[in-house]
This record gives sequence, structure tokens and C-alpha cells, in this order.
Amino acid sequence: MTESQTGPPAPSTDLVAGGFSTLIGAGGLWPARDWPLGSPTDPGSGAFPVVVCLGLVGLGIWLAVRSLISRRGTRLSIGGLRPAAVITLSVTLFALLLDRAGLILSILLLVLIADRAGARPRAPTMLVLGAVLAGACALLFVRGLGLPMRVWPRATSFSISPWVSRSRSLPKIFSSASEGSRSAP
Amino acid sequence: MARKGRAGAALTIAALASLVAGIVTTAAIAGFGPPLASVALAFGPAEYIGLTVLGLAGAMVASKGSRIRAAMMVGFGLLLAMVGTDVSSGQERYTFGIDGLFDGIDFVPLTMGLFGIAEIIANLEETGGRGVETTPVGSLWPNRDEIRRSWPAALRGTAVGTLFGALPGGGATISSFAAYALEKRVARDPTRFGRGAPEGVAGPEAANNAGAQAGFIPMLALGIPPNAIMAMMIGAMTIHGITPGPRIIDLQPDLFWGLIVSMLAGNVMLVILNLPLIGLWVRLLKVPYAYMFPAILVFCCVGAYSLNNSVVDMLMMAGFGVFGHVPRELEFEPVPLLMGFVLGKMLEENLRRALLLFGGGSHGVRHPSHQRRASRRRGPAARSRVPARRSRTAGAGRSPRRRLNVEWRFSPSRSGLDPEGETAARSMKSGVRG
Repeated sequence: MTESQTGPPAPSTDLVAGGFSTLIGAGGLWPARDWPLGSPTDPGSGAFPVVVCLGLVGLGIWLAVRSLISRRGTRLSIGGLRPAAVITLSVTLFALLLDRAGLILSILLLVLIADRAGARPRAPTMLVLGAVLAGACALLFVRGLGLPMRVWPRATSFSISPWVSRSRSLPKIFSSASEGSRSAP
Repeated sequence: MARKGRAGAALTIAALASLVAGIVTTAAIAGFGPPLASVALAFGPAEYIGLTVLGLAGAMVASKGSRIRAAMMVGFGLLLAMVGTDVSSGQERYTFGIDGLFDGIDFVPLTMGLFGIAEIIANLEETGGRGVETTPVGSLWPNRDEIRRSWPAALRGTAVGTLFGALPGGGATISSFAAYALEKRVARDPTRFGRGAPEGVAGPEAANNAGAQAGFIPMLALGIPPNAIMAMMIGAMTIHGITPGPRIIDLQPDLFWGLIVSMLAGNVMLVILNLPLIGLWVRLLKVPYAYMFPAILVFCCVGAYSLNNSVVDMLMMAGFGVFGHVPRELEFEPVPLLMGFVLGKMLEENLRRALLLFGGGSHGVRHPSHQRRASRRRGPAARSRVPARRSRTAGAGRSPRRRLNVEWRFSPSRSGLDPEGETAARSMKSGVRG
């Protein structure tokens, strides 16, 4: 909502919200086109999705049209996208690395990257915090609760939890088959 | 309430409301267990539809913003609930070939993403990365006004929780949301909610505790577990040679009453453990947010992974973090989405079940809350599919043309077979009613 901006005013949130809902409803209808609708007394698997999606599309159109007609509603102002992008990136990297690089390294990476989302990134403090958190999580979850999580990277042979049975005596740099079967999708 | 500096009081109210709920629910189990269980069992698909619609309508009413947006969020929640394999037909819906979505979206990554990560993102954006400013803690004990407002709310929450917790499929979550909606509805000034209304803490907390404990009612009285946790308890009890059921009070009174006393003891211990530690928890608020939010992120991520060791879960959580954040910019609220998600499966299943059972009007399954006529069928195995003519709701307005070649009918004894021709005789005698 900056008055100093030149150009057309930002669309009202109602319009964008209505468009959002219509889009999602229409998107939901697309895979549902193949599913059987059934009869009114014997609804198939497609009946409920279609009804809900049609409702979403209807509500979206209503909201959008109402905002265009009555011109009320607050203007859309997109705040900084940086925190959202950075945090999503850090969680995604954590998710992808956890299986391969282990808990300790993933947590360190998560903390260091997430720190960039803040106003004043403080790398050294975050390094310490990350190390503390990683150590605490490894002790608490893997050793204390016995959760089957990889703590150290795949290529190494350290093991923090003697109760979790994984053959880690040989450094397997290129192994994938036995490890991949462990983590269930 | 934390923003008003009443964080300590809020925690105390929560602890005490839980205590009240726990004691009252224990008394209810002890005194009214079996009747409550039969009431819970009398709920058929039509009643469940009513309940879920009530819950969703309550979520829409309880929302702070515009109703249309709340309705949209409920719709999104319902859509998310449909991801996965359809129970009735086995059709894979919205899975896009991803194995991790075969069983549907898990509750925990959704909630953590929607409320945890989206909250972190929102906080970082709003305050430019500095984080929420911490207000002074204030006293730990609620003042007289707060107590006066809280205890009726706690009692109402207990009632809601006892009812919703005993229902199959109900539980603590639905109870607390329903209690919040109820509090907002009966309050004289609903705008106080979201700004520090103690009823908003006392009601849901009481409902939460009552809902969790009331799950024991059908389990102990009838041997039917209303949710997954109770199913695990039945499993554990069976391992130890105990069979919950209608006779448990007669056959094993020491077990039943021992359980009741243990519930009382547990609730008292809850308060004893909780209250002194509140000061400690509240001091956590003083930690600078820049150190807090990475820790929160770490615990969210590790927690989401630990459920199923699934990378898909964590990626979903990240996705819901974004998905929870973008709608916040558009003034959507996350609570109706959660309610839609939690109730979506129940609503769809029961809708289909009810339409199947009562839609044609010609399926005469005896149900305690509906008087239906016995069905007329074309043969032993065929199922009537005559939809349009027959009214969906009542047994009224039957066409006079009747088929009389009936051999198999649904008999009142619910076994499905009627070899004596009981129902045939009755319907021929009384005409319309069966």
C-alpha cells in the first residue's frame, strides 16, 4: 500500500482471493474428470470432489465479482518474499539431505540457511546454536528414543546409536540399494 | 492473552480448566458410562453428517474474517482430505503418482506447516526479522475477572468434550474447536476473542482434556474403540488378558474402578506438575526470536520426519508453510482449513453411506432413529436401484404398485434374514408401515 507507487493500484485482496479459489477449484476438477460420479443414491469417488470444486469455483467467482462491483476490500500488498523463500528453501534442503547427509549436517545447514531469513543474520552464533541443536536432537531422538534416523553421512561409519541396527562397519560410498529400502515412502 | 501480558495467567487457566474437565469427565465415566456409550452408538450416518456440518459451520462462524473466505478455506480443507485412496472404491485421488500420498496427507505435517512454519514466516515478515516483541510476563495467577469468566467456559467445554470424545471418530481436536466456536457464540462480546479472552483458553482446554478422556467411555462400556488411541489401549488390554465390554464392571470391577481412580490421580498430578513449571515455560518467551525460530524449525522438521521416516512428509510441511502463508496475505485464516481437513473424510464417508442406505428409500435397513419400511427386492442378491421416484427422506408417498415376490427381507432382528416371513406378514397386515 505505497502511495508513492506509480501505475495502476494494486488489485484488492478480494479479487485475488476469489481468483485463487477459482483456480484451485478448477485445478481440482481437472483430475476429477475421469473419476466415476455415480448416481445420487450411490455416489462414486468423483462425486464429492466435483461438488467441492464447483463450490470453490462458485465462491471464488462470487467474491471476485463482488469486489469488482463494489470496489471495497483492502489493497493487496505483498510484503517481503525473502523470509518465505529462504525458510522454504532451508526446509526443502533439509528434507532432501536428511537421508543422505545425516541429522547433524542437515540441522547445521537448516539453521545456517534459516538464519538468513532474519533481519540480522549472525553466522557465528548460529553455528554454535546449530551445533547445540544438532547434538541435542541426536542425543534425544536417536539415542534416547531410538528413532531410526541417520546421524552421520552415508559415507562415514560413525554410529551414535548402538541399538539401531544398520550395517555401518564398512564405509559404503556407493551403496544405495540397502539404504534406500530402509526409508519407507 | 500473551500479548496483553497475561501469558502466565493463560497457562494457569489452561491447567486448571484441564483439571476441572478431567475430574468431571471421570465422574461421568464412573456414573454414566454405559448409557453414554449407547447414546454414542446410536449415531448413524445421518447423525454424523449433521455433526460434521455443525463442526464446519462452527469453524466458519468462529472465524474472524469474512465468512466467504472461511467457507473457501473449509473447501480447501475438504479437498485436501480427499487426497489419497478413496476408502469405498479404491480410487486414487489427487496422488499424482507419489507413493507418499497413497494414504493421504498426514495431519502432523499439515498442521506443523500451516501453523508452525507459516507462523514463523509471518512473524519474520511482519517484524522485519526481529521477531515478536516479548511483553512482560505478568503474574502467574489469573485475576478475579478472568476466573469469573473462565469457570463457566470450562464447564461448557467439558460438556462439549465429553460428547464429542465419546463419539466414534470424535476426539480431542474436534472437541476443542467445537468448544471455541461455542464460546464465541455464547459470549456477549465476541470481538474479545483473539484479543485475550480467557474463555477462549478455558473452554477449548477443558474440551480437549474431556474429549481425550471420554474416549474411554465406549471403549470400557462397549468394547468399541472410538479412535486410534483407544484401539491401541484395547490391544494392550487384550495382551494382558482383559476384555473391555459391557460386562467389565461386573466381571472385573477392580480394573474398572482402578482405571477411574488412576484418571483422577493423573489429573491431579497434571496440575501439580504444570503449575510450578509455568514460570519456566513463560520465561522461554524472553529468548530472542532470532534464536527461537531456527530451533522451532529444527523441531518441526525432525518431528515431521520421525512420523513415517518420509521425505514426502517434510516436503509437504514445507509446501504447507508456503501454502499457509500466501493465503494469510490474502486475509484467509488457517483454522477453517484444518477443520475441513479433519472432518472431510468423515463427512464424505457418511454422506455416501447415508445416501446409499436411505437414498432410494427402498432399502429397509432397520435403524433405531429412523422408521423405515422393510424393503421389497427383486431377488436374494439384487439391490434396488430405483432412485428418482422415491423421496429421499421419508417413507411417505409410496407408489401403490407393489411387488410381492419377496423371499428375503430385512427383518427387525437386523440379521438380514427373515425366514419366517415375519416382515412380509406384518407389512401385508398393516399396509404402509412395516
